[in-house]
Amino acid sequence: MKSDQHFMGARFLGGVILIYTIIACVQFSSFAFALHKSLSLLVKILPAMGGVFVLMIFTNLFVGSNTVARYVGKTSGAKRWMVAITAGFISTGPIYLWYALLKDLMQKGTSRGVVASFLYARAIKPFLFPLMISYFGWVYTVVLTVVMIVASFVQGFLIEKLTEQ
Amino acid sequence: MEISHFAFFSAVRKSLNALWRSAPLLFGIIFLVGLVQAFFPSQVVSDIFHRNVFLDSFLGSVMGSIMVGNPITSYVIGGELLDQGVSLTAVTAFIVAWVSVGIVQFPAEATMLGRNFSLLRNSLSFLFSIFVAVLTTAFLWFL
Repeated sequence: MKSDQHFMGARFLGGVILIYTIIACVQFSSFAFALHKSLSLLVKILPAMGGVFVLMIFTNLFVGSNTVARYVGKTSGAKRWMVAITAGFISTGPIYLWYALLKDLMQKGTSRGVVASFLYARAIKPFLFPLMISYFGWVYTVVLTVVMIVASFVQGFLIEKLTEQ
Repeated sequence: MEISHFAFFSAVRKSLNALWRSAPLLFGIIFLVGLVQAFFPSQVVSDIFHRNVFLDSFLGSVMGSIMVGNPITSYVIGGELLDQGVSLTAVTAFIVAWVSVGIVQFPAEATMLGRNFSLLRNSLSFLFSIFVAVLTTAFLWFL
């Protein structure tokens, strides 16, 4: 599945390169303008991508998100929301890799609301903060993060109440 | 805290692999953005988003819900939409829906976690992307 993602991306990139080639033959001025805009954008995001890379190394080195996610199933009361949201916050990798673990947690009694909070909190990616800050500013990044943490809890709480048997 | 060389290089390799997987799509999007800017004037984009807070965030959420890929791509597209004159509310709804609503992943999620749960979760995530967008921009307006 990981190589599928790279292959699909490569096909998409190949398609874009083909379009550029056609445009270069038909209307060179537009090709040059488009290429200039794209390269400017690439240069703009490169420093932020460097920050993203460093944070990814840090996360992979120090944070055992799999271990934290398992802890989600072992806490109760109000603490479980905090643990679920923290686990989602620090979790990495594609979502489909987490489904089996979450299914296992649900079968062992973890509430659907807590699982929903974890999944929503995954939307917050701390290692992407450098890129978000470079585009939208640090105030926006902080405010959005706080609002999404609250939204994770609210969504989880709602789902727990709606799915209570 | 002592870190072994093996652990460090393992973390670097994992990070490089993650970026490598996303690189082709990310580069494709970056060069596609250049094409869009060359052929579609910003007026076209501004005409789609009418500066109505709720309608714009709904449109942003719809766009984000159907897109798939690394969130990095959503920030790049979102940033460029912002430069084209699209409201911050719509862009926020777009990037939040991109990462929280999983239409493409829905079949896998429904199979593993249950259809009713997945339907409820994704529906709420869609609605929440609008609320989060409106709340975030409202807070920014006050700050």
